[in-house]
Amino acid sequence: MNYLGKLLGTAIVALCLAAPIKAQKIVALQYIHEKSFPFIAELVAPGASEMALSETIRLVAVTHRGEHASQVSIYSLDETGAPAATEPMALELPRRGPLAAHTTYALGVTFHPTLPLLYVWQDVNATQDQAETFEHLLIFRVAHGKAELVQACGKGSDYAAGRKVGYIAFDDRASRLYFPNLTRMEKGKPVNGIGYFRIGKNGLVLPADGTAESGFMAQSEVAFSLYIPHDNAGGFLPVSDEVIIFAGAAGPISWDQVEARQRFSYVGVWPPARPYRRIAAHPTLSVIYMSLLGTGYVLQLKHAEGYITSNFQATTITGPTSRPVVLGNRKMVAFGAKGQIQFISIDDRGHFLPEFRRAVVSSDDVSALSYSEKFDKFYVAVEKGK
Amino acid sequence: MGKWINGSVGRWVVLAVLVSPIVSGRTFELDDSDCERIAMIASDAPRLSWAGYPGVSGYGTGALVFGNSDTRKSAFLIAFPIERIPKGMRITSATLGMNCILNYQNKHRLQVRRIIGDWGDGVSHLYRRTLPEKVPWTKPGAAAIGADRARRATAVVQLKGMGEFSVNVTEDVELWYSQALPNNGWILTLESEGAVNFYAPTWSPGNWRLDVSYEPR
Repeated sequence: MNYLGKLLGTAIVALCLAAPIKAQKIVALQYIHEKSFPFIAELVAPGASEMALSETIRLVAVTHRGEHASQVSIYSLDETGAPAATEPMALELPRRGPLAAHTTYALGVTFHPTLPLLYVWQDVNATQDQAETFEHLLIFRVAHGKAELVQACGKGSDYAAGRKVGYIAFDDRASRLYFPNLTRMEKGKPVNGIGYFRIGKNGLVLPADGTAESGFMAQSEVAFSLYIPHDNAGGFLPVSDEVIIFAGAAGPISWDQVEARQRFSYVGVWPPARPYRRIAAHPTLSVIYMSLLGTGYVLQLKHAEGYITSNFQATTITGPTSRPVVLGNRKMVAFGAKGQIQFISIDDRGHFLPEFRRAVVSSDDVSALSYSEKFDKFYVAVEKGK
Repeated sequence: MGKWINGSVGRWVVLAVLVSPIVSGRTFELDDSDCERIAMIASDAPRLSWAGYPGVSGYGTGALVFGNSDTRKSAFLIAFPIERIPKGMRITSATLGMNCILNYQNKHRLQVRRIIGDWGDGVSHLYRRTLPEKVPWTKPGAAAIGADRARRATAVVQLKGMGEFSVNVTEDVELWYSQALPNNGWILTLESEGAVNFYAPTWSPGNWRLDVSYEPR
């Protein structure tokens, strides 16, 4: 560069400095090239939609979209957490009762934290009136390469049918299983609800008081609110016995199960009108992350005892297609996207750092992800093997 | 041309361009999205950091409702990161700006005071912070004059109608910048009875602003 060029460059820089300083609003990420990601473990699962991991019994369960939607694929892991060199078990959801002819599909899966039990939240293509007898929760005992149905519940007029999103999650003590997709009419308008089943020491849903085994009714607590979105947001984070956080249409919502005055509180977070939100918690910090599907935005928020607090951080990546997955050991948060996983670095407080890495995977829509802190393995469902 | 640029005149031009903003002073703008410490606390939702407005189903942050009634006394807390202002300067002016979006009456007064004690994550009507441990306000709602909030009000904003309002906060910013006092931001409360709504920082960022002008000391 000649002297004139240097002078002009200097002048431009100086003029920019002279202008009022505009504070940074969004964390700008710099791409860090990484040759390989040895901690990623790929599982071939065509049309995968969601994933659950059990470190205790070393299994990964995957739900599917499309032709395999009525199936849950279960993968075994070896002692190091690597996928075992065996075919996955294909668990076909049993069709029961009067709706046996209708198409069913799995929406959410989770494992019991200590017992060999798999919980599947399923839905059915039927009208609300038809679906009153449909059992949304199926519990399977999984052992020795076999899955046996041990309980089915979650039915009634308040359970919505035909929903597209449905997450389930245990609290820390495995005494409550949170579930989505309730609906009822209030003052002529549909209002959505969520709830939890009380779980016994054997991992099964406790019966409601006074119900006989033949007419099993689940013991549950439910809540309805105008704040609970229909289908477009999801994820439960039971952060304490009193308060859980779930993903609402405008941002995270705290459900306070003790204090009636502040039963639901939502923090509407910019950018507004982006309803497809997914949520995840940091394993050790009071920090949550949120992805806004179909946009480039991902957020970091803090909570105190389950109530959102302080301001939040926002940054942009290539359109996320999954819920966030926190890699606590590696100080990263992962987001699936089209054909890739993006790992944003975080600091000791869980704040986004201005850098990210990208791993390419063979899947158009990466949404089934999980991470094991114990094995330091990041599991991702892909369309085909390498 | 090249010879002229290469001469001493060129160097003076470069120096003048670089020095001019320093000599003439600078303006530093911050808004609510720069603030980590920010909250709306309220007596009717004593554990919430974001008790923005009381709705049918609970509380939300579509707007910040400043309430002063028997059923709701709320306060907005905001601390701007003024440590970003370069060192060795003299503050010449500082203005706190805000934007009112609903005000049915023209009589309302919004009071601005410095917060005395440290506050942060988990702040609520009851606590100045709950992380890493719970520390209560001297009086709930940071209401203790001289202990939770400054004895003297920084300013009182007369809310006539809706729209943008601003107040002079030069003295406070000087005190914080010179480290004569720790920067714990301001608490804003409605003095008059009733309610007014302002833009919420999480939902409509950029409406709470601090403009600081400074020059070399």
